[in-house]
Amino acid sequence: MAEFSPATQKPLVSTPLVNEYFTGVVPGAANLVGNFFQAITFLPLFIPAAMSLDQIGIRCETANASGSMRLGIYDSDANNRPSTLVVDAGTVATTSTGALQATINVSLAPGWYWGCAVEQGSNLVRIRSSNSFLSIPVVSGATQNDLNAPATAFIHATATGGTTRASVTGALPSTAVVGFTINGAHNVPLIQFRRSA
Amino acid sequence: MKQITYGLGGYDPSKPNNNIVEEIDLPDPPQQPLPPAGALATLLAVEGVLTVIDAANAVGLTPNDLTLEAQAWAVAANQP
Repeated sequence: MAEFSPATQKPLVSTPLVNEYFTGVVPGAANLVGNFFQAITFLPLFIPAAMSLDQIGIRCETANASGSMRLGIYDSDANNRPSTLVVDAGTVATTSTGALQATINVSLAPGWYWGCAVEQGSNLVRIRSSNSFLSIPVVSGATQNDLNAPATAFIHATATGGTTRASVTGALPSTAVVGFTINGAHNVPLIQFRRSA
Repeated sequence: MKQITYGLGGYDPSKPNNNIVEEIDLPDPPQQPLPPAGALATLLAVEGVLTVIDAANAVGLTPNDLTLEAQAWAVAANQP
């Protein structure tokens, strides 16, 4: 069977129109769940056509006086895993609930990308996330797990990979070194993007 | 719900208004009608056949769900 290729396969999602908001590949219904403090979590994002984005945002459901959420986008490597940082949008202050978004200015070619969010400042913030684990073929472990929670969302790990939750306290790293948890209760952040052109 | 938009670079306390470039109040989404079972449970609660709690539990909803449904009915009934 041929490998998936954005250049040859039909898009998996419709193409957002200019000034429309859209999200990534959401594996389950929206819910309010916890986030891993200072660990990057990823949302698969398929860009079906060349476009520019000018907004990236989340919905904060539980605010905290010192809360912040850093947002960004990574591209994919040859194996469709998070690879190089495309844009670090900075943080939005999760000190109040509601729709929080940061302005970006980025042009993307068609293909797979990864929206990302990392909770910084306070571990008490909750944003709208998917209540299902991310389970897509590109996420797999070196050892077989018990399939209780197959391949949860990517988590940025230490340079050696693995399951350590890296302390991402500042800017996003230029390269996404990804690990994963097995049986980890980790869910996928719902991130919205707006097409500008 | 409030929508806060930050400028390039996101939150920045060194910039005016912490780099917030827009802050608007979004209207709350309209209440979605309950499924038929929820509507029936609401009707039974309104008519006093069941308590709101029992009616809600019977269909896996919350008492607030039934209350909002009943309020929507009342609004609709008063419209010309």
